[in-house]
This record gives sequence, structure tokens and C-alpha cells, in this order.
Amino acid sequence: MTAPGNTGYAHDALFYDSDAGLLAAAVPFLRAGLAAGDAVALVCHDRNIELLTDALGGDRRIRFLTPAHRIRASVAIANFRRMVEADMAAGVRRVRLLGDVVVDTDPDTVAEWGRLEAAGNIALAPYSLWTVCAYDVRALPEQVLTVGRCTHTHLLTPSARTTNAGYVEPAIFLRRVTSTGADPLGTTTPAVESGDLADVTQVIVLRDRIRIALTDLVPATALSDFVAAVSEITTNGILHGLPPTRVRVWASAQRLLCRVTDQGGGFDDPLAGYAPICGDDLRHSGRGLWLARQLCDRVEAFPTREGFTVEVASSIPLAGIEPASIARSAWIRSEVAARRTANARARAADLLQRSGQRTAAGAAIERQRQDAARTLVRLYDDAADRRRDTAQRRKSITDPGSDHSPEQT
Amino acid sequence: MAGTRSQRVGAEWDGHVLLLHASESERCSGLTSWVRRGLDLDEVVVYAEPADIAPGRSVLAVLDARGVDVGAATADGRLVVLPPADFYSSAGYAGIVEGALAGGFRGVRISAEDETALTVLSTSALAHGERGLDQLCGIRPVAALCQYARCRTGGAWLREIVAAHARVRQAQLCSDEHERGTVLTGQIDVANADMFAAALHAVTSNDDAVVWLDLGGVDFLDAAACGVLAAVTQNFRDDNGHLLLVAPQPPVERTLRLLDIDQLAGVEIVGSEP
Repeated sequence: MTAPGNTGYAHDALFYDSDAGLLAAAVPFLRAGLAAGDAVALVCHDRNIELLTDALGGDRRIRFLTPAHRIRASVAIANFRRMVEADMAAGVRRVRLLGDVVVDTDPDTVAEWGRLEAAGNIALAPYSLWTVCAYDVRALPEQVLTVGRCTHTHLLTPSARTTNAGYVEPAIFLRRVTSTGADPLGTTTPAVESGDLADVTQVIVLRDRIRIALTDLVPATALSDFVAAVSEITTNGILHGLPPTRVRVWASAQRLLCRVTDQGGGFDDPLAGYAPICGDDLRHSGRGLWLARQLCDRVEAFPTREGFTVEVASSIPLAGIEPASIARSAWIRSEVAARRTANARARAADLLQRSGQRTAAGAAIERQRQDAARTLVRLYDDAADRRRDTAQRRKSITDPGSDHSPEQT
Repeated sequence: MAGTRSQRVGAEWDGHVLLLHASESERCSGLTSWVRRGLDLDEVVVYAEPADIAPGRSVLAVLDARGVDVGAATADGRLVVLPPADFYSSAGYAGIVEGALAGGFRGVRISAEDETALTVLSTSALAHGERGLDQLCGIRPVAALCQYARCRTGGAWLREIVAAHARVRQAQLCSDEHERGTVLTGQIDVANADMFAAALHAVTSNDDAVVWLDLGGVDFLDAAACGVLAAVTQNFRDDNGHLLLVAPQPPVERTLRLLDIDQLAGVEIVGSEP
């Protein structure tokens, strides 16, 4: 088996038609990772977790994540980045991840799966992550298998790791999977029409109008996500397109749809908004699109008769249920959050100490610093207690045997 | 009853207030609220404007058109209009203030437009005056409304002027200095990211190691604002400064976290969840 280099993203597909076939390819991959001190994660359904952990002798270093049947590509990418960053910060050299492909087979979900598989090749390129996506050829429909064949640079088999001759460049592949067809909601009467926009100071009025029009129809979180995404896309249209920018919004009890058109040539980069832009790089362009992609199920750009069009769509979750895409790697987040809490406590304590040493500062400023640091410690403590309680409750309700508990974000 | 109410409603117009206006109607409506607040509190309002100001823009015409009884107020000496040369005299604002307080008023409000000030002052003299006025408002019963046009106030000048005022009021966003730190209220997006940048610059330039920025009253913040936040506070954070983003509303916190603002060294989001 030819292993990839230690840095950067490696993306393999493993096609299997029997338990033995899966184990023969996956176990050496995982075992080599454990031996090398890599972090090893299984994103598998219960049956495969059982098979694989048995084969690996129940190694306690293996981490388990719940695979999602519906995903949002951008959110999954963001969570993979955070997971790898947290592991790197803890001194791990590389993360190996074996993922079952379990997505639903409706066209929208398959298309989004394709976006994740393809865009990940670019979006995760700087991250030391070796992912093997396991495709069960007995269970998965042809269109999902096609995604697998086109989006992995390598194929993993029991005998070898080989380059994939069927690999398609992400940008080319994404052009193929985009446009899952015109959204039927768009043929109904819009709930909001913006009129002609030419100045970014008009966007606040648009946001207010959408909120007012949809507030009784849409749960608060879904609405604020949608409004924020529309705001970003509209701002981009006004700043980078040609006037006038026009915005229309449609809503049903199940779905939200928005089309933003401008008269410019638009952008012809299906990877726009997926490239790594975060943290200190935020000043660069593209962050609005990246945010919109994380806030909505679908963001697509294409030319129409009305001009360059960006379409934003989201399904409305049932009240009280977080979308599966967001729950997906709650486990990753909770681990990162715990680490962050510990760091924050250490920093807050440090702040207290340092502020005591500064003699130039007046008493009021001193008080302010100490209040801030104390409040910080208290809030983090409270939140940590709450999180522990919730985790324990969930564990006892849902999964008494497991040592990992998914958690609401 | 009316007295207690007026203490609460309108207190946002007390102290040293920067009114960053983008239109004449914004300016006039802010000015009118500020004057009403002063008249309610039995304060004297001293206003500077040149004699040759366009008739519709003069303070008396503006207030009259919005229903303030300017006849009564000027007759009582509670509303005084001075030419710029007298207003910006060598005695400074303190001269006006102490004169008015000696006349028995409970407090003094002074106001002018940036244009008016710059007919008699250099920009550096104006900036110096603003800093002095900010201190004066903290120790004497003085309120000031400094009217600056958005179109004339940008870049380093915006940063300087925002830093010199305890309160900043713009159509979408207000910034108020409180005991703990700075409180922002409103919506922050690409349209007012420059003012947000100026406010961040001001709070991170005070030599405080820990800066408290209260976002409890901010109900929207976009990706451009996150970009500004990361960039403007960079030097402060590199220098071991800590920025506490306190009590963001859930949608704002979500945007901050999705764009990994919480991952920046020196930034702590003190919200409902760690």
C-alpha cells in the first residue's frame, strides 16, 4: 500500500461487496494509523463499528462519530477542519478517518454529497487528514456510487492503494452536480420582492422586510440563518455585480427560497466559498459566501434571462429538531469546546495575574479587568456543568452502552 | 411621573454624543430629539451656526418644523444661537458652560455641525477640542451633540472622532461607553463596517489588556463585520490583548462561530455556550 505524505488531504474510496472485503482493506489502514500514532476516527453505522472494532481488538484510542443521512457540505468541511486543527494543536501528526457512505438517496441529498466529496478535495487540501470513504456496492444506488468513482484521487483495495483513473477535477465535477432543477417554489408568488438595489445601505431594509414577512411561518433559528445568508449574497451582488441587484424570496411551510440577480457577468467558480477562509484570513473576500453556504442547504450560481443569479434554499426543520447536518459532528465540537474551555480558564487566570502586576492602571480599570475575568470563569464553569448534565442525561436515555454521546450544538 | 420618564427615555442623548448622519432628515431628527431632551431637563441649549446658513437648515427652522416651541425657548434664554467665532472662543467650551451654569440652569447642552466648526478651527484643533469636551462632559453637567456628516468623515478622521466620543449614534448602530466597557446596539454590516472598525480601534487603543465589548444589543452582524473584527484587533491581540465579546444574541454568536472568530487568539466569546 502506497501511503500518502504526512501533510495535506488524502481522499480514498473503498468499494466493497462483503464484510470480508471491507475488513481486508480497512483494517490495515486503521491499524497502520494506530501504530503510527495518528488520530483514528470511525464515522460508521453500528454494524460496521462492531465489525471494525472487533477486528482491531477494541483499541480504546479509536474515536466514533455518527454518520449523517443528510449533510450540508460546508458544515461537514468546517467540522473536519476544526477536528484536524484541534488534533494538530494537541500534537497529533495526522488524522485518519474511515467513513461509511449512508446518505439518503433523494436527488438533493445525493447532489450535496457530491459537493462534499468534490469540494473537500480543495477545501481540505491544507489539512493533515486521510479519509477513506467506504461505499457498499450492494446497498448504494448507482448515482451515489458514481459520486464515489469521480471524487476520490485514490482507490483503496485489500491489495493496494492506487490512483483513481476515474477521478474528475472538483470544479468540473461540481458543474455537473449543480442545478438539481429549477425549484418549483420559484413559480409561486414571492413573499418578498426587493425592487432595484444599488447601495449596501439598502440591505438592512431588505433584512427587516424578510423577517417581518416570514416571522410567523418560520422558526427563529431557520429564519435568522436564511436572512443572514440572503444578506451576504445580496451584499455580494451589490458590491461585485452590476446594478440593479434584485432579490425575491419565496416561502412554504417546508422550504425557503431566494433568488438574487444582478446584471454583471457573475463568477464562474463552482468552488467559490469553499476554499479555506477562516480565522485571521477573514479579511479576504469569499467569507460571505462561505458563511452563506454554512447557513443554508444549497447555494448555487448560474446565468438566467434575468441576469446572473444566485439561488439560496433551505428546508425548514420541524420545530425543536436540529438539522442532521448540524448534529453530524456535535461530538467533534464538544471535544473542541472542552479543550477551549480549559484554555480559556487558563487564560482567564493568567489575565487576573497579569492585571495584578500592572501598576499604571487605575483602580476602576483594575476592577473592570477582574470582573471580566471572573465572569468569564463563572460563565465557562456554568456552561461546562450544563454540558456535563446534558451529556449524562442523553447518554442514559439514548445510548447506555456507548462512551460517546452526541450533543446538541 | 413625566419627570422620571424623561430620565429614562432620551438618556441616550446625554453626555458627549457623536451623531454620524447620512442624510439631512437623519441629522434633523437626531438634533430635535437631543434638544427636546435638554428642554425637558430644564437645561440651556447653546448652538453654533454661521449667520449665512441656508434658511431651511438653521437650527430654529429645523426645530420649528418639528414642533418645538422655539419662540418660548429663545425668549426664556433656554435656546441660544451663537456665531462660530463666539462659540469657539479662546475661553473654550468651559467658558460657555460655566457662564450658563452661573445663570442658574441645571445643565448645559452644546451642539454644532462639523462644517461649522471647521470654518474657524483646524482639524487638529477640532480633534483636540473634542477630546477636551469628552472629559468636560464627564465631570460637569454638560451634554454635547457633535454632528458629523458620514460622507465627510472617513478613514483616520473617523477613527479619531469616534475615539473622542463616549457615545456614537449612526442610523444602524450605536456605541456607548459604560463602566465595564463599550456597549454596541443595532446592526453591523458592510454598510457601517467602517464605524464598527473605528469603535473597535478606539476600545483597543486605551492601553487596557482586557477589553469588554458588549454585543447584547446587536441583532445582526455579517461576514464583513467579522472580517473587520479580525483585522482591526490583530495588533492588539498580537500584543497579548484580550477581547471579550460579551453576550452575543444567538444569531450573532452563530455567525461569529461559523466564521471561527472564537478560534482567534485573544478573542473570547462569553455567551450562552462555551
